[in-house]
Order: sequence, then C-alpha cells, then structure tokens
Amino acid sequence: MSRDANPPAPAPSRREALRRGLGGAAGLGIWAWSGASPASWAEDARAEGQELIIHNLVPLDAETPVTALGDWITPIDRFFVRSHFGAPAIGPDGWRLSISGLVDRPIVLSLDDLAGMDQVAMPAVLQCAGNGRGLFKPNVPGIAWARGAVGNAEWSGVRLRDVLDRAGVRDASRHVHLLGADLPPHPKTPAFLRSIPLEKAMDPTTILATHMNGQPLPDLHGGPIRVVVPCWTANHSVKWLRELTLAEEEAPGFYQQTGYRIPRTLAPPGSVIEDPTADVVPVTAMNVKSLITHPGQGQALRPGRVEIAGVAWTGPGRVTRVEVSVDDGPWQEAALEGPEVEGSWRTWRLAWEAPSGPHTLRARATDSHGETQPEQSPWNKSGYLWNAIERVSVEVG
Amino acid sequence: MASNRIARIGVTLAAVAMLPLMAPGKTIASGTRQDDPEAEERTFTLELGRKTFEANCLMCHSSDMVTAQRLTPEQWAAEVEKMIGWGSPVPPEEKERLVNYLIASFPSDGEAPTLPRLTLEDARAPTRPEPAPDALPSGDPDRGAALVAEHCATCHGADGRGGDLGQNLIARPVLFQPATYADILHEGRRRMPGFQFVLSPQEMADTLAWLRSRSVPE
Ligand code: HEC
Ligand code: HEC
Repeated sequence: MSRDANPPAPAPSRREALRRGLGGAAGLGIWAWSGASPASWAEDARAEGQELIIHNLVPLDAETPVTALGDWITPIDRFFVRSHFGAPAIGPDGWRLSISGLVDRPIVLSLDDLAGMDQVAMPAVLQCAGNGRGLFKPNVPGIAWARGAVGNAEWSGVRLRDVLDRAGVRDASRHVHLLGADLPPHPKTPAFLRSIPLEKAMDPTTILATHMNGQPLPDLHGGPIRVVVPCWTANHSVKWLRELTLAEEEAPGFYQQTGYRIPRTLAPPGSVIEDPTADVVPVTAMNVKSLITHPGQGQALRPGRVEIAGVAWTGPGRVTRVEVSVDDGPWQEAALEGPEVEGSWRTWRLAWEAPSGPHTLRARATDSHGETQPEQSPWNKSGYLWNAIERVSVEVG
Repeated sequence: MASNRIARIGVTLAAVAMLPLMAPGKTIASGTRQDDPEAEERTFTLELGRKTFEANCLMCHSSDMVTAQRLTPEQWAAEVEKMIGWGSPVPPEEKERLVNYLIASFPSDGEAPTLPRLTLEDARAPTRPEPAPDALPSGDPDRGAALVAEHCATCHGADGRGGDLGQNLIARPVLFQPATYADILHEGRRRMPGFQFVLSPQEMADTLAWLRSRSVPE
C-alpha cells in the first residue's frame, strides 16, 4: 500500500462486544453499515449448494465455485482454502505468539493476552496471488485456480501495530517476518516464511485475526490466529501465526525471495517496490477485478428480465465502476451495492431483458487509480494477478 | 454416518489415485500390441515411471497436486528437480523414467482434469482427528524417544522432522488418528517397511506418544 492510501483506522471496540456476537454488535468496527449482520449474509448463502472445488486434498487447496460468491460476506465453509503444508495438528491449547528481533523487549503472548487487548473488526477480501492461474495460456505449474480463490469475510482480532508497540520496535527495523506453525514436510523444503514492510505492518488495518465472521477462526483458515493484510494478495496473510521477527531486511528464503515475484511492469498501482532496479518485484497489492456470480457459465435462462450480478474489488483504493457488456455490445454501468470499505469488495447488479438465443456476458471493473480490467492478463511464469475481462455464455430459451 | 462419509472420501481418493493409469490421449495401454516389442517396451518403462512416482511423490501431498497439472516436458523436468531439492527421495537412476512418465501422462496439451467437488466438512476428513481409544494402549514418550531413535530416525530424522527417506512426522494429523497410525506402523506404506514383527503395540504407542509430545508448543 502506498503511503498516502492508508484507509481510516478501525475504531476500537471491547472484547465484550465481540462476545455478544456480531449480530448484536452494532458499532463494533469501522465499517458501520445498515442492514443485516455478516452472520445473516452468510446464512442466506448457506441455502445454496455447499461444495468446494478440490484442487488438492492433502494439504487442502479448495476453490469456491464462482456462483457461490455473490454475497457480500462469504460464509466460512464456502471460503476458499489454500495450504502450503497443511494445518499443524496441535490445537489451540498453549498457543504462543513470540515477538522478537529488533525490539526493545522480546515478548511472548498467549491467546488470552491478545483477547485482553483492543479488539477491532473489519471486512476484507483475501485472494490468492495465483487466483486465475489456471486461465493463463500457456499453462504454468502450481494450483490451477480458476476464479474462486477469493472471498470476503469479516475478520476480527487485534491490530498488528498494537502488538508490535508492546514489544517496542527499534528504529533500524524495516520489515516484519511472519512465520506460522505449519512445519515444512522435510528439512530441505523451505519454511513458509514471509515478510511485510514495517510501514504496512503499522497500518491500522493490518490485523492479527482470531475470529472470522464472528466465529473463532477455524484451523483450516489459519486458526487460532492469522495475519490479515487487507488490499494485498493473501500470501501475506500468514496462517497459524507463531513468530513475528523485526528485521532490517526482507525475510530470506524461497517463499519471499523466489516465490511471489513478478516482472516489474506488471506491478499494480499501490505496490510496494523494494528495489527499483530489480527486474522482478514482490507481488503485493491486488489489482482491480470483478466476477460475474450470476448467471453461471452455461446456465439456461428464461427469456425476460434477468439479473446479472457479481462482486468487484481492488487493492488500495476503491472500486468506482462496474460495467457489463452483452454480446460485445456497449458497456452499461451496473449498480454498485453493499457497504464500501477499502480492502473489502462491492456487490453489483444490472437488470437485463434477455431475448432468446445464446448470449455472452462480460463485466469489467474500474478503480480509483483509473485502472480498468484488461482484455488480456499479461502472462507471467508463476501465474499471478490474473484479472482479464471474462466471458460467461448463457442460453436463453 | 461418519463412516459413510469416510467411505465416500475413500472413493474420491481412489478415483484420484487411478488417474495416472487412465490419463487420456497418451494412455499407457493404448497402442500396445502383442507383436510390437517397441510399444511393449515403452509401456513397461512408463509403468516403471509410475511406480517411481507412487513411491516418491505421495508422501508430502496427495496425487492431485501432480495429476491435475498439464505441463511441458521442460516444466515437468523442472518440477521433479524442485521436488528432489525439497526432499523427495527419487533414486538418481529412476529420475528420467519418472520425468518421462509425467510428460506422457499429464502433457500441456492434455485434456483438463475433472476436479472433485466436496463440502468443506468432507474435504477435511483425511486430516480430521479420529479418536480411537482401542487402537493402541496409552504410550510413554520417554520410552518412545529411544524407540524412535533406534527404528525411525534413519528415515524420518533424529528430531522426527524428516530425513533421508521419510517426511516430517511432527504436528501431523496422523498423530491424532491412532487407528491409521497403528495401521501404517503395522503394514508400512510404500517405501516404509511394516513394523508388525519388530514393535509391539505398546512400543508403537510409545513412538506415538513421543511424536505427540514434540508437537505441542513448548
Ligand atoms: C518432501 C516433500 C515433497 C515430496 C516428497 C514431493 N513434493 Fe511436490 N510439493 C511439495 C510441497 C511442499 C509443495 C507445495 C508447496 C506450496 O503449495 O507452496 C509441492 C508442490 C508440488 C507441485 C505443484 C507445483 C509447485 O511447484 O508448487 C507439483 C507439480 C509437485 N509438487 C510434484 C511432485 C512430484 C512429481 C514429486 C515426486 C518426484 C513430489 N512433488 C514430491 C513437497 C513435496
Ligand atoms: C526405511 C525408511 C523408514 C523407516 C525406518 C520408517 N519410516 Fe515412516 N515413512 C517412511 C516413508 C518413505 C513414508 C512415506 C510413505 C508414503 O506415504 O509414501 C513414511 C510414512 C510414515 C508415517 C505417515 C505420515 C503421515 O503423515 O501420513 C508415519 C506415521 C510414520 N512413517 C512413522 C514411522 C515410525 C514411527 C517409524 C519408526 C518406528 C518409521 N516411520 C520408520 C519411511 C520410513
């Protein structure tokens, strides 16, 4: 996130409020909206089919079918799952989070310690950097996600900044290394060690989440505690968090130095560029993107009024416009709906009088940087940041 | 009900495991004729490659991680190098036939895989804790330490985090599935030998107790 694009700080709220559950917790966080709670949003979606697309069973890599992503809040059991080595089989008992490195006082916090700190809640999109990898041609190795390695949930917990302040960050610190409890399967396999620049760590919207949609964070989603870095690809939002280390340099190792890098020219607006002379830069900010969640690909429809609906999000900044084109005709502006919170997504819809016959629907989003989804996503060898405009074909008759 | 669910997962897993045999287009069996020694030779080498795959590629992730990919020969060769670097114990003399098997079975122009669909509840079945009080007696971690050092460390490392032939065993879901654990120790699995004539149930339980004691936060 660029320095000037910091979203407003989430207002603190007490642990009591969290316990009451989100339904009754009006004013819980930064993002007051009128209407239903995330829990009831989630409830609606639950009515539909429940299945995820399984890319890999162990460790679990599972994608949400795009037609199940139409709600503003994605329910927990529909939310995509990405694991590098799998959830550590330890359980939350005796969980400790250590903060060390370039700090005044290395500390170790328990989950109770964290629960006693200021609690914040906010909705945020998490999207795998490789969402859409399976759509790139030629093929690239890695989980071949199509569209659904993304979801919008309400995360609650403590600000990372507050935790770092307790340890006292020394002046020389530039990066925060993030390490989870998921052990690599072999000593030769690199640990999933990641880092974020201190500036991003101190951003008041970067949190350590212990709850998701008001529930204790489930283990498959990183419970009992994970990082949530809004606006950035989800590889920064390290799961099963155990160690925070402050350092002068970025994290060493494969997952920071080799993985999650793209050619410089691809870097989307709002990215942090560590080394302006390098050919590749870390994938950081998400780029602007939309999905058509209704109708689904190949769906048979009756002639007449059809609601074309979907979701749209971006990295730092906001979604300013979503447009829909039918049969490659003129772009028509859809209505953006739902709460607007930076780092979260918008739902959108457009009514369409569908005549009989086969039709193609396309949607494209534009953000406050003036970026619009491209016709083609630039190929890169790891398949990151796909955001090309897609086509959904339907049969009306 | 629970066993029904497991059975269903079993079927899905079995279906996934079959994939390498059924890969379309360039199938292993097609084109083989009794009187064509070259084709027979090729079938035989591919089958050997499949065995290398099963023995060395399924201990850290399920087969889907590999069989759902559609890659070029260069990409497959690079993946195998990467995985050997990450700890896959492929014997050097088997590397080439493994790569050739992957190229032939999952080519970049091959048909896209059909991915299974499961509820989250079902998808987590293989890693969910499955208490089975009768599977093993209760174990003693101190006795387990000595047993692991004697019988397991050569392959899984002195600290249980992986070694020359075996993967990490610390904080793994199988430690909370005692029936599966006991079964693996009895029967062995792929490159791991069975210990049914070497270790008593009590000793197996002791190794489990030690591995668990190493998994909880200190
Ligand atoms: C020592 C553990 C281990 C063994 C053995 C292993 N792999 Fe992997 N493999 C991994 C890990 C860990 C990942 C995924 C990392 C991730 O998701 O970030 C992976 C991922 C992959 C991928 C996905 C692409 C990628 O590079 O992430 C392919 C393909 C793959 N492995 C092929 C193989 C093959 C073929 C073999 C046998 C030669 C093998 N693996 C054996 C650990 C292993
Ligand atoms: C000759 C080498 C070797 C020895 C000795 C050995 N193992 Fe293994 N073990 C393996 C290999 C290889 C695998 C992976 C098998 C596969 O799935 O392909 C494995 C797998 C396992 C698994 C399954 C892990 C999981 O997460 O599914 C367990 C549990 C295990 N070993 C325990 C032990 C214990 C306990 C001992 C000592 C009593 C032992 N092993 C001795 C090679 C060995």
